[in-house]
Amino acid sequence: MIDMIHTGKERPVKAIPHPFALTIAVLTALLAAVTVISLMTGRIFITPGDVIKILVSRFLPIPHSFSATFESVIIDVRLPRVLAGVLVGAGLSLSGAAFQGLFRNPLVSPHLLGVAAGSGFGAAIAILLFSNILITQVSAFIFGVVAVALAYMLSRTYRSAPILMLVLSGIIVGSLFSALTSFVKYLADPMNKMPTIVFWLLGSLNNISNTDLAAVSPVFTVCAAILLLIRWRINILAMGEEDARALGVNTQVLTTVIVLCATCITAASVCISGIIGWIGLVVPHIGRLLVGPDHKRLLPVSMLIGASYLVGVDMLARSLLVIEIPIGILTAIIGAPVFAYLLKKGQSGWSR
Amino acid sequence: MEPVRARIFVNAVCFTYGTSGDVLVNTNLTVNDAEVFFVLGPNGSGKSTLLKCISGILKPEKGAVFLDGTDIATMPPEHIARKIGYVPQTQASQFPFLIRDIVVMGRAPYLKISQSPTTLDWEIASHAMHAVGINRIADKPCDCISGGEWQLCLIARALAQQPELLVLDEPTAHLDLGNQMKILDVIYRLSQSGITVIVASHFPNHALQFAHQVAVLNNRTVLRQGTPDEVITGEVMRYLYGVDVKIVTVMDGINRKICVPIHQAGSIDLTWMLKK
Repeated sequence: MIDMIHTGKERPVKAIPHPFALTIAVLTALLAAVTVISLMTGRIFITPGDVIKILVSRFLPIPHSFSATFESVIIDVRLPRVLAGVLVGAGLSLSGAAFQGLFRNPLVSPHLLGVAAGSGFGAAIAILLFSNILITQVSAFIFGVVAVALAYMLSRTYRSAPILMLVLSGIIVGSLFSALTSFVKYLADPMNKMPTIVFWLLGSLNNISNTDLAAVSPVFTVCAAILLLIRWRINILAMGEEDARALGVNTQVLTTVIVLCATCITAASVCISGIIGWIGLVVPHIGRLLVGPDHKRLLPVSMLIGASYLVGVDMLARSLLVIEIPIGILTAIIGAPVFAYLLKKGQSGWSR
Repeated sequence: MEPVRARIFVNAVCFTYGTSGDVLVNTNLTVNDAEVFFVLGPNGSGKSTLLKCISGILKPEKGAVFLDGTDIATMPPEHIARKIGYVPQTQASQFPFLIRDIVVMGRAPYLKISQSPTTLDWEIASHAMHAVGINRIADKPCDCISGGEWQLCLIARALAQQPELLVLDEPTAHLDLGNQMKILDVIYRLSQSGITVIVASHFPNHALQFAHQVAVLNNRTVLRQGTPDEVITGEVMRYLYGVDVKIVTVMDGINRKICVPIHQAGSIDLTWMLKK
C-alpha cells in the first residue's frame, strides 16, 4: 500500500541475528558442565567419568564399571537435588523475566504479587498444625496461589491503571501474609516447630525426593511452555498497556495468563525448595546483558542461566562449610553484590 | 458536489475517567476518506481521550464511534488494529528494544497469541521503516535515538499494521523545527497515498499548512468543525486559548495563511526579590 518515501537502499531485516544460536549452545554446555561438577561434589568425590557412566547407564545398556554405592549416591541423593536446582532456577528466572516485562520494571521479582509471602504462611501454618512434609508442600502451593489470586481480585476493584493497582494490591496482600507468618512463628513451639519453620522459610534444595520432582514437574512444564509460546507478546506488553491495546492485544487476557503461569511456577518452586530470593530478580539482568531486552530471546536464555546459577549456588551451599548453608541466604549474599555491580554498569538492559 | 464517504463518524460520545468528572460530553465528529484531519484544543480539552475513543483504546460511555459505518465497539480489538494505527504521545520505552523490534510489533493484530513474527512480517516491518526513512537506524536501541526518530519509529510501527487510518496524538510535541516538518511531511504524504490521518496538535499553523479539515475541542466537546480557513479565526483562537491572534497571509512566494499571537509589552514586578 505504501511505497513512496523510499530512501536509501533496501536492506533485508533478519528475525534473529546469528549469535543467538551460539549463546544458547554455550549456555547449554555451561549447564551440562555445572550439572556434572555438582554431581561429582559432596562428601564422597566421584570422578566425572563415573558420573557420566552412571547417568548413561540409566538409558543405555553399558557395562557397570562403577560401584553400586556411587550409583546410589548419584541417582538417589544428588540427582534429585540437582534436577530440583535446574527446575527451580530455570522456573524462577523465567517468571522473573516475564514479570519484569509485564510490569515494565527491571526491579521486580517473581515474588512481587505476594506468592512467597502466601506460600511462607501456608508452609508455616502446616508445619505448626501437622508436621507432615506433603501437607506442608501442598499448603505452601495453595496459599501462594491464593495470595496472588487475592491481589489480582483486589486490583480488579479499581477502575484505572490495572497494572499499577496489581502491584499495589500485591504489596498489600504480601504484607498481610507476612504478618500472619510472623504470628504463626510467635505461636510455634520454639524448641521444635520454630526451627523447622525458619529453616523452611530460608530455602533449601535438601530433602527433595524424586516423588516431589514428579509431582511438580508437570506444573513447571505446562506453565513454562505457555510462557515460552507467548513470549513475543510480552514485548508488546512491555511497551505499555495503552500501546498494547492500540496494537489489538487483549491486555487483560495476556496479563492474566502471564500472572497465572508465573505464579504457578513460583508457587511450585517455593513448595519444594522454600523461599529462594534474588534469582528471579538478578538472572534476567544477566540475560539482558547477553541478548538484549527482546523477550523472545531473553526468556529461554534466562532459564538456562538461572538453572546453571542455582545448581552452582546449591553446590556451594552444601560444600563451603561443614554444615549446609540455607540456599536462600547464599543467593542473597551473592545476588546483592552482583546486582549492585549490574546497576553500576548501567547497561543491564533498560532505559534510563 | 460529489458526496464523500465518512471514514470515521463520532456520534454523541461521552467519556469519564473514574470519578474525576466528564472528559468528553456529547461529542460529534466526521472524518472523510484520505484527508488530513487536525484536532486542536487547549490542554485538558479532551483531545487525547477523543483520539483513544476513535482508536478503540477507550470505550465511550455513551454514544459510538463508527468506522466505515460499523460501530467499533462491536469489532474485536485485532480487527480495529488492522484498520486503525494509533501513534501514542511520545513516551520512552522502559527497555532498550531495537527499532526494528518495535516496528515489527505492529504485526501483532495479524498474529495469533502464540505466534512470533514470520519472514513476511519482518519484510512488512522493513517496508514500514523505509516508508518513513528510518531503515538506516533499524538496528539501533530505542534509547540511543532522537525524539524525531522515536516518533518516526512509532509511525512506522503503526504503518506495519497496514492501516487505512492513522491516528496521531501530538506527534510534533517536544520536537525541533526540522523534526516537526519531517513528521508533518510524512503525515501529509501518507494522506496523499490514500491513508486517512487524524492528528491532535497544539499548533494552529500546522493545521493551516497541512489540514484539509480541522475540529476544535473546547470544554469537553467539539466546538466547531470545518476547513482550516473556516475554523482557525481570530475569534475562535481567542475563545480557545485566551490569546489575541491575527490571521495573516504571507505572500513572498509562500502564499499561505498563518496565525500570529499578538503580545502586549509589559514587565513583572520583581522588587520583592531584593528583600533581605
